[in-house]
Amino acid sequence: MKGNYAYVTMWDRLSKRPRRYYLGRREEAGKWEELLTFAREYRVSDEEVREYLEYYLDEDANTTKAEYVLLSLSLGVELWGSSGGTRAHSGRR
Amino acid sequence: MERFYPDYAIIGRFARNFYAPPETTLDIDFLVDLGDYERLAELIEYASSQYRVTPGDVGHWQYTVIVSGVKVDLVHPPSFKLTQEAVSRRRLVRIGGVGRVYVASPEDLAALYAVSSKQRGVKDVVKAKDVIAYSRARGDFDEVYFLRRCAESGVEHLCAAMLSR
Repeated sequence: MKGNYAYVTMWDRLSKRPRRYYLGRREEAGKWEELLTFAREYRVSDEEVREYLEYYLDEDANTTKAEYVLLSLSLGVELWGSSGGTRAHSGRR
Repeated sequence: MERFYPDYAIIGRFARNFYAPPETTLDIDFLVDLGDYERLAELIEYASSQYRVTPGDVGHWQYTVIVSGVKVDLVHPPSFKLTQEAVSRRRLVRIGGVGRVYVASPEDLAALYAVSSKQRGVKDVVKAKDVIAYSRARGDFDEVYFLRRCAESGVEHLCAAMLSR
């Protein structure tokens, strides 16, 4: 904190040296702390990655198989319709 | 979309699903240049004759069109720059029965989630990190370009934290 403003010092991968970043006003510091902590700590496990590569990957396109992407849309629309169209988004997979 | 916005890119969860294990979604988001009011007015006039379009006037950064029960959003987040490099980095994907569509690059998509997490919180950090982790596993993520795009939107520090393994 400096006065009414919040900053964070982090390693700058582009310039390869520490750098101070401006975050915003003091009252926004809590929000940034939560986002930065989550951004550092959230992990996708090796097992999840292996499963994705094994079951979902279209190796020719190097993206998820299109049929699964379409299925996720049709299932979402169907779930939304059956819930009366009141939910913004449905859950995972 | 090609007719009005040939430089479009699909973003949001539908795009994310091309780069990570699919999650259910009920809409398709298109990143387009909504600052071109003349073109936007033409699209609103054209689409309104067949579908419900909201809002019905120019000057907004998000529009919704309901097409055959699917919610189609046209968006241009205020703090995210549309660049020719982003257009050239789009991925052309083929969908059986639909055709070929352009999807935003994993780097631009992750940068967009970093921007939106300022309003939507950690759930968009999760989406960004999913795109990064699975794209790295496919050998398809340019960290330098990602950080450059994040810097243009003032979220470089958040993106740098996302790159931690």
